[in-house]
Amino acid sequence: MAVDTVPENVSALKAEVAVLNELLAVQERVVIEQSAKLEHTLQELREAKDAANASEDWLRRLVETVNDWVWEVNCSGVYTYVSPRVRDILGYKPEEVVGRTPFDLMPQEEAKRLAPVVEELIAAKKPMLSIENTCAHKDGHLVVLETSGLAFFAPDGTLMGYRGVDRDITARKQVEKALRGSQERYRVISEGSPHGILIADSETRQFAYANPCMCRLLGYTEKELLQLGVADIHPQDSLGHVASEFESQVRGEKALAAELPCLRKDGTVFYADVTAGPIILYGGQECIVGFFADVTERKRAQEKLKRYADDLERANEEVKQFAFIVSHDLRGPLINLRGFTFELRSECATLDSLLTAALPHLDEEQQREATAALRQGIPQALEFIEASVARMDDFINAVLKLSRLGRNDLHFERVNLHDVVQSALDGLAHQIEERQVRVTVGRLPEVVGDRTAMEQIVGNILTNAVNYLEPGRPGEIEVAGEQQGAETTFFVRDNGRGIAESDMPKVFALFRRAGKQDVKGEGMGLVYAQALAYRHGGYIRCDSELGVGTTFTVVVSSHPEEQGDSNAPTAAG
Amino acid sequence: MPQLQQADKREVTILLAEDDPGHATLIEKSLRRAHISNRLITVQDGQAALDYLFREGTRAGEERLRPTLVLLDLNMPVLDGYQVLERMKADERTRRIPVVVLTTTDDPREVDRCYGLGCNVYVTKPVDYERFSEAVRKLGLFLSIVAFPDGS
Repeated sequence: MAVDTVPENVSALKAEVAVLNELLAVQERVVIEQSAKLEHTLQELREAKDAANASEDWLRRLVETVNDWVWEVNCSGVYTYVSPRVRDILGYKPEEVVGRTPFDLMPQEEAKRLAPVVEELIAAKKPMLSIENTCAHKDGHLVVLETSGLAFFAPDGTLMGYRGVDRDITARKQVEKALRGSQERYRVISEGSPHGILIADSETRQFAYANPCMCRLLGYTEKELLQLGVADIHPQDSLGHVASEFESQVRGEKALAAELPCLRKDGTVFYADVTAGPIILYGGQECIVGFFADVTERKRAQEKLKRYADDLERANEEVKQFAFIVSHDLRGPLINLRGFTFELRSECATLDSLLTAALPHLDEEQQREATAALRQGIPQALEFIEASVARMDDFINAVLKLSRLGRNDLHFERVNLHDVVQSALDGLAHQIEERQVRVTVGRLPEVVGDRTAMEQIVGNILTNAVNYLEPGRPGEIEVAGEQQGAETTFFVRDNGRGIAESDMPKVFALFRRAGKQDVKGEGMGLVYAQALAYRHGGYIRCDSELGVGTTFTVVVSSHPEEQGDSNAPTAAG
Repeated sequence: MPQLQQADKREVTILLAEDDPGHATLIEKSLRRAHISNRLITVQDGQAALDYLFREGTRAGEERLRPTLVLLDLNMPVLDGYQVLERMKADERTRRIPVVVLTTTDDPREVDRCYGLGCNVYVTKPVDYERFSEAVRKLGLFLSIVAFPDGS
């Protein structure tokens, strides 16, 4: 620029200055703009730095708050960072762990097991994913950890170490173990159960589970059963009943469906008592679980028993009828025997008067023969016939009476045994006094029974006791009894002649009389008494020793009217 | 009510339904011994008794003898005494004929059943012949007091 050229150069100079000013203004604008930008950048950097600080703090806090223990090891496997949580998990302070290796924290065996696994991963720089391992807590107890970690590298790619987390899974392992144990327990119970177990959907009635026993019972595999439903395992004609039982069980109204017919794969039928109740499966599926007990055998046995009982009932009825009809029909001929014997006697009387007139016309031999026949032979024959008829009639009457005792209506009421015994003794007062018998009557219970029957039983036994005392020995008779729950017992004990062991079977037998036959009797008294005791839901027992005495014990039910005593009238002619 | 009249007991025909010929003979002998001389017709089963009473079967068309008293055994072949009694009491023609049941038993059930069916007298045939005759003799007494329906 030249200053000497001022006059003519002034305008040029002025132009130059203007240009310069212009340039200056532009530069100034640029600087302002740039510094504003810089300021903005700086601001951004400051904000970024604050954010970074906050983030690091957040990360640190996160690391230190999570339940997992966060760590970093260098490429030699030595801990370079350990989050404080380690203290909660293993009992060590972080600074106690830093500088050690994970294997230092494990029992020797575990370290030995794990070392090759970890070394292989490190060699391949692979991530560690949920490696289960056991470490020892500072106090000695074992802690199960689940370790995960990632390798980290220097900018040039060299392996710097691993960073990762250890999670305490001891509790989870225990729960898993308990769950496995529990599942195993239920599996064993279910599979070992002698009952079929079947789970069916309450809505669709399709099967969701069947235990091995159920499969055996039905002859299907479990897989096959899971394709079936309730309607497939019961006979067609029972489905209505089965459905209504199923519904009741779903509603929880009843547990047991008894003797349901079940249809096997091969078409045969068995009967099961099915106990069932609602159950909800894991997925929330509402089901019903049924326990099937095969009762076919029991049902068969019951039916057999019922058949036997029916047979017995029929046979018993036949015996009663037989006794009645025989004794009834046997009488007819006896009436003839007796009647015509009488007629013969009166005809003989006629002949006798004729014989007296005819005798003078006969020779001596003829006289003797005619007289012997008409006055000795015929009357003797008639006597035998009559005596036999009388005996036969007694037998028939006895059998008839016995048959009636088994059929008559009994009227059960409360009977005071003491009164019954006393009145029987009153009836025997004469013999008792005559033979100087000492009678002791102890405490006697009330019985529920037919009064007349009780009088017959007591009367019969007491009469026997008095009649069969040992001659020459002062008689002693004791009567006492007691009620014991369902049974009422009383006994009559005497010091009489007793009954020989070999005669015992005759005691309650028809028309049999034991011992010396010096007392009249038909041998039916105890038979009647026994028949009456049976009808009172009891029996009479005899204990005796020859020459020492006899005890008759009468046992009757305290509730004889509940014994189902049947005495329906039977037809007879 | 039908007209009842006291019949001359000698006019009464006795129908004896008894399957045991011995019993029938003894009954007849006892009746005669008790001076009951009425006409006696003996049949050996229940059906024959009904045939006689209703003039049916083998006795169809026969003239009816009346009035009648029936002595009825219970245990008879073909139709038993109960069945005869039932038929008689169910039929207007025979409903009022007096019936005396003669049987070998005095079982209260049997007695009740007979009276329930409408029998007038129940007589047990005792094995003891004196008592048997006595029972039959009572029939003579019965004959004299029973009222026979007119035209039966």
